[in-house]
Amino acid sequence: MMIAGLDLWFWICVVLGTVSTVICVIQFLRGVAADDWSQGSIIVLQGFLMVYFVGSIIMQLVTDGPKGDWLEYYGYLLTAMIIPAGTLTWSLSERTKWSTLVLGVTGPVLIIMVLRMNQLWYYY
Amino acid sequence: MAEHAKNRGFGRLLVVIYAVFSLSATARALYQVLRKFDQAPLSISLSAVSAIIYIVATVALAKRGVNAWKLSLAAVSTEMVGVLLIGIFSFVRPDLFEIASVWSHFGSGYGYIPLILPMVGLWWLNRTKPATAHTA
Repeated sequence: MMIAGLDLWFWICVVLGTVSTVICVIQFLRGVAADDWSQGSIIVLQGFLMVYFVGSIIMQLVTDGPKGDWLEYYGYLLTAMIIPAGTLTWSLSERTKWSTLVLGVTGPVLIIMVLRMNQLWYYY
Repeated sequence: MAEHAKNRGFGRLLVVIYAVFSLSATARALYQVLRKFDQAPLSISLSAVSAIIYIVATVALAKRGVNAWKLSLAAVSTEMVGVLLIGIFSFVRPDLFEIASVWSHFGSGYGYIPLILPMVGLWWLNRTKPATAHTA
């Protein structure tokens, strides 16, 4: 199923990434250091990417794979998977409100990267 | 001033944004070198250079001390000059930039963040300027 030329992977990422960023920004404005809410939302994003990765491999096997370059597609996917892992690790070592804002960067970055992966998979 | 250490507070966020750019620019440059180098060697070489500058800036911004501040200033200034020069050049000679680099067209492919980031970086470095350049 496609919405506006982009698949459900992308739209799920938009929802999860936006929710995560909203949680992180609210917690940052409240002056709260990284907590279960902000870190939990990042773990959800990391989990999503893992499912996306497995899903991509399955789709690679049962379909023709990405229309664009497969190396670029998986390059994006693996790079994307490093980002929540990195920001989460950061938030474990720094217990200030700024680490909450750092976590909030994850959502927008992932939305853009999954958008690019969608373009590579379906269009070029 | 202690509360103005450049790797504290807002500086933390800046380091992370630089880290994300280092990561994505490196991944992109690596991919382009592997797959497309002969198509646009200039553009791709510049992508690789910009990735290195982002990495230097990230590390320098994250570290403490006067020398790290100076290195940050050098890296962020190079980035500022780079994005402006390559931005202008990519409009003047588009034939040399058929494959976009991070900085071509002032970073339009990255939502102009590559243009805004060094401005924010220079502002932050100015705010966190060490009291004297001689004492650590």
